[in-house]
Amino acid sequence: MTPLVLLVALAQPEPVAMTVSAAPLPRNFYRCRLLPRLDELRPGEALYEPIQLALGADDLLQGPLAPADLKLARSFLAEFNESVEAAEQAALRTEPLLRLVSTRKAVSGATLLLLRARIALHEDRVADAVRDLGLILSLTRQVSTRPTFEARHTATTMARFALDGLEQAVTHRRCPNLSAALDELPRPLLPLGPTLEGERLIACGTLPGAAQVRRDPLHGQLDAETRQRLIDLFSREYPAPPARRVLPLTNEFRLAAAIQAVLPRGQQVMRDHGYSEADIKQMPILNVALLAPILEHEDTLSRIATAAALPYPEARAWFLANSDPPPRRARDGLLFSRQHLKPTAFELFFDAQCHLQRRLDLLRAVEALRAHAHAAGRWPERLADVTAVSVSEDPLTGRPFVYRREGDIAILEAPRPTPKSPDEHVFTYRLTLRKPEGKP
Amino acid sequence: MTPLFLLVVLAQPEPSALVVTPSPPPRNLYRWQLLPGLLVQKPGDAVELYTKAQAALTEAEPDRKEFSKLEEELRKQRGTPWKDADRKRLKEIAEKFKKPLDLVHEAARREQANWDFAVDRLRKTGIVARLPEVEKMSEFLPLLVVRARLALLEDRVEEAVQVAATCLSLARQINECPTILAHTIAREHANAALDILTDCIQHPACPSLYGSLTDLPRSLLPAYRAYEGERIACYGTVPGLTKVVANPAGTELDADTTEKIIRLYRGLINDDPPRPEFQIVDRVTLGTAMQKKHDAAKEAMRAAGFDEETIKKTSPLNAGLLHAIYQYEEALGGMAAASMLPFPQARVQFEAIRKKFPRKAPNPLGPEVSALPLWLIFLPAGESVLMADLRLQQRLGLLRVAEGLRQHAAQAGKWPEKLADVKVVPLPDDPATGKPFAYTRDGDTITLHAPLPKPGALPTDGQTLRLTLRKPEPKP
Repeated sequence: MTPLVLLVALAQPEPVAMTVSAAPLPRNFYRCRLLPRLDELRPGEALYEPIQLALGADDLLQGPLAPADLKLARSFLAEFNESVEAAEQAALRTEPLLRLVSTRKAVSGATLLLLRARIALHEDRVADAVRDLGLILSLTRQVSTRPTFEARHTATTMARFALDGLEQAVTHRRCPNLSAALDELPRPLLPLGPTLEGERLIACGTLPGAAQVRRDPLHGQLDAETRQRLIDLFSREYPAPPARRVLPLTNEFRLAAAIQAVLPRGQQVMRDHGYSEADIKQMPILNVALLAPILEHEDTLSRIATAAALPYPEARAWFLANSDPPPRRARDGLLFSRQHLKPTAFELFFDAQCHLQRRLDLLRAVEALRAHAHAAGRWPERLADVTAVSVSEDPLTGRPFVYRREGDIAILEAPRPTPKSPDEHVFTYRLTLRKPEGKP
Repeated sequence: MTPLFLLVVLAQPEPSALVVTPSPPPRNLYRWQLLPGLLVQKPGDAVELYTKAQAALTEAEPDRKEFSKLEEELRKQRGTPWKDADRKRLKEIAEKFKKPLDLVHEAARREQANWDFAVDRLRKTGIVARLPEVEKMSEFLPLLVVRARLALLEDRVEEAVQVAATCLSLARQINECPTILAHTIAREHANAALDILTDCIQHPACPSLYGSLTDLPRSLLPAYRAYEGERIACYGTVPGLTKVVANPAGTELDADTTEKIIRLYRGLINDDPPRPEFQIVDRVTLGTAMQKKHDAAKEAMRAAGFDEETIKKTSPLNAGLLHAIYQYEEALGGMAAASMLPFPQARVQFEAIRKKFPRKAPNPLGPEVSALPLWLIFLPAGESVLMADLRLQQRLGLLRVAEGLRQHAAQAGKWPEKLADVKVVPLPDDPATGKPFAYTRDGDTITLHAPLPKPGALPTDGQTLRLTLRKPEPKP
């Protein structure tokens, strides 16, 4: 094997082998649904505080649950009985969590629900397992509405839990066809919008006085306390040379000098954003210094939002081109643009969103194949032969997934969509059709 | 003129003819956001403010007849170019209704819209539940259009776009109310927003809104909640259903509930209003049907996971009710899930559902139908909803293409020969087909067309957008 081939072979992610049963489309969608029904939901905010942190469950969530682990899993769950109940109650609330509490508790709730689902699968209670996985998705959606990076990370982790569980569930011999239940999930599962909005909010919230100046750039004046916070921030971000002793007043002078120095650049930013010459002239120079980096920051976020909505190849190319170094060229020469207004690696979130969406649509394709197998008694020769239900297309390419049949094994592939796409965007499912019960 | 030709001319929809200026995208997308961002949102419930706005509207014009006249006047103006509008009159109207419009503006920027009371009403009173709070929302629409047009006439383009954002936010909030009616009103609001945006892009100072339109959620007004509300309404309407579903073996329906079910049965299988003299006949027919289909009903219970003991203990009436609701849920759930799919896939699913659950009353004694075919009156016209949602998506897509083309023209100085020549931004496809919109160019004028994917539709049916490039103003 040549080194290049070896390299490619090494980079190829391991195919997932699944043995599944043929399953018809469920007659009643409302009895086989992932997201909670409207009549199950209760008014009020989701509360995660009563959920305890379930540390040490990780080993019980990897791979199929071995019989030896079952006892351990049950006793672990029994210990967190109240927490799992609290997680269930939270998932059935209408209002998402808006207060700033740690989302680690939500992850803990999802962990416990996944464990409960795995036990239910082991005990052949498939409907219970599917319900628990739906509750995880409900928690995921709640958390994803919170516009912070932490929430975004948390939601991604939780969505992965749900997908792990669903992949296991469909391999159960009695799992109903989840095609319709998966159809109903929102697309994309975790939109990037709220996190970008959160970035924008945080930028205005953390730069002292920015929100005030943003509201009224011409007349907004900072009070003494806000000015002092701004001076403190400046002295932290732009420390004086260590050899010199700096008096408190000196920092104020240094800030004033810096504002004067960046004024032409700041005024140019204001001009670019449509402010008239008269307005710019009238605007206090401190306001220009504060508003210009905010506007440039919003420009960057605007570009990210636009890029994220593009078709995958263009979006991915954009993120690659703009991730390293971060898009800060435009912000050079402005104050306060280094730490506070640096957009964090959004390409990571974008990649995670693509991973989740592709996996979800692959799972839908698996369910379409299971429906076909139920009607025809075997895997189809081509994906186009599946007519019992629509087969989802690859969200990253807009084309059908790659499908082939090798004897009794159906192979469903989502190949690397672009040469530089990460490994986590590549999937191969090898599906073996389980023989109907009672038949040798 | 041959009759066929005449027919084609009559069927030809009036294309929207717009004169536009080539324009690059704005530097800052957030200033042109089409849904209020978090920075401008405030905590609280929008529905409370809508109620206040409705009261303020009545206060501004207590005479309903006068208000209807005004609505008619504004409806007539809707298709006319904004430049021809009577600025003085618009200003007069905008000032008169300033308070309710300000409240609506504020409400559209609230974080939540709490429609719990609507769900409660559906639970209690079923399909007859009235939701005047939602119905009245449409009254603000013509006034919002007035506000936007006035802003455009006074060259305040950003403000006009903000009014469109208000309409879109209203649409999203109304869509949270889980009924088909609310979904329809929400769509009306989204269409009004697109009307305003179509006006806006004709203003010479309007930047390309391609980014803002692209930034909107891919499923702007998902319909699945509306279907779910229908389900709750069905449970609220069919007497005894909730109890039977909760405990099929242990529930004994009283005589009054049974009578109501018999009346419902007559309504389902016959258009005639219930008449006392038929009551005995209906009772016998329903009883016979229930008995005859008891095996099918038991099978439906088995499929739903009930054990044999429960099935045995369940009365034929209760089993028949369960059978009926399962069939209804099969049809409704199928529609709800399909509504989330891309249109070509959704249409296939809808057709399959309608084939299985036709609109006309089937043979009540046929083996495939439950004794109480609830879907005949409770299943909404999902196909109409699907088509109307598609038309909105097509309109949105056309507008996005138009804005992409304006960006292209800003760079290239002219319209492209074909859509594939546009490289500055990716242009969306027609959601009806998954293929690019039809595009033709004739000098400075281009035509975009989205055909109507309906059996029997003429090729000229559908939505058409005609754009003419504005000549640069002569420099002094």
